Amino acid sequence: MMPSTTRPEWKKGAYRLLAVAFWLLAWQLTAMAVGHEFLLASPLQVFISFVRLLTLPSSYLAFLNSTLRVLVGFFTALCLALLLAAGASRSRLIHELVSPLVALARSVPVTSFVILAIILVSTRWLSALIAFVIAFPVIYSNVLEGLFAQDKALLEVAAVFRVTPFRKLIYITLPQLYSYLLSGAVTALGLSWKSGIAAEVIGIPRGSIGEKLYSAKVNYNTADLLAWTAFIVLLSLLTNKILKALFSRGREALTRL
Amino acid sequence: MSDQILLKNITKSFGSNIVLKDYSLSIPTGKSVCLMGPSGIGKTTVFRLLLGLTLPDTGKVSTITPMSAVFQEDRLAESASALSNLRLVTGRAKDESNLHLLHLLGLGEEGKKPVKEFSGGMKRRVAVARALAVDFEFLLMDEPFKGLDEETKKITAEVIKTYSAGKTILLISHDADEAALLDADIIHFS
Repeated sequence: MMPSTTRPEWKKGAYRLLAVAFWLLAWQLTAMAVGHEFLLASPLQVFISFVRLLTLPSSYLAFLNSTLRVLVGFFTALCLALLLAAGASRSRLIHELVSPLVALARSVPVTSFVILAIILVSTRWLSALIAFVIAFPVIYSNVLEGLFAQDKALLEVAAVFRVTPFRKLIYITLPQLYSYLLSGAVTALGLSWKSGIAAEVIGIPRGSIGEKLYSAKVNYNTADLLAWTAFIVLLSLLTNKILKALFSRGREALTRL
Repeated sequence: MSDQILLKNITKSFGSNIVLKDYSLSIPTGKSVCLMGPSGIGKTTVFRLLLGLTLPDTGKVSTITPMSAVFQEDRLAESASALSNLRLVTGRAKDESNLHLLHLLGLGEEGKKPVKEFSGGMKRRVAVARALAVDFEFLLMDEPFKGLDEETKKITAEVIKTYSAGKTILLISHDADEAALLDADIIHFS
């Protein structure tokens, strides 16, 4: 019998756990070497803060507010990027009109946008606006690339068989666009979280994760700071999982059509 | 019977490469015709001109509609099932007859599997099924039996003949036996 070249699942899991344990230990040793909690909290102190924050109602309000705003920005970007990319794939004028905006959004630093946005809009929806500005070019570019990469031979088939626009969308465009849209949306959602929370830290809207991070920073409370960071990572992972599940459901629904 | 499908004094070039020069072809409606000739002589260009996918530089193309076609390549939606590939051109309303057609072509069991899992011969039959699933007056087929074994060729030819009875067929092939399978008159491409 040929020896198996793939590593068993339990071994992969064990290696992963060992790696996490190694870095936690490194962190603990560094914290002990620094010797000041306000400079670098230990993993245990962060865990205690994490659990304590979970018992506070104000934490849930912050989760809700920030998640809502980031998701509003992200989904607005998703819808608008889909619409404009569809338009740009058919109209040179729309393509040329949107291109400079996309290039601008890609190159201008987030901080510049945030400061400009603080002047122009209320800080309450600042993170939504920044999440939108950051997510839009990523999704737009990916969708447009997907639309331009459509199988021309299959589009000729659609033309010869006089396929209706709806059926063309369901059987040709969406299946071919799926991987471009998914990869763009997943990247954009991660960036939305990063930029949205960064905007909140600068704008300090009341009852947001950004406000909590800012408060932890001014009080030199690194345990809270890292605990809030862990919450952001978890929320980002959770929304990412939900988004992927939604896309997966959408793909299954398409194959049943 | 009048010649309704016509290419008249067609010239077509791609860059500096002149593919057709003052070329004319007429196909009597209701007949099966096989266009034969060596590779690279312009048969596929004629196919594309008749389908309206390529415009001639000069000359006139007149044809009858609706048309249906089997392309030289399978041109299938690979992630979709065989049935969905037929739904692309017919919609869901003809599911029952589409499944029957797939069954006749020996794809009854595989109708709902993704095409990407199919062999070359199976994909070719899906492409043929797609062409036969729609209503047409003129059926154009560019090497429809490519990749099929002799037995499957015969079965496929019978299904094509059944579904295209009384309709006009243009077959493009290198093989006179394939023309015979469809009772097609041979026109040597020159």
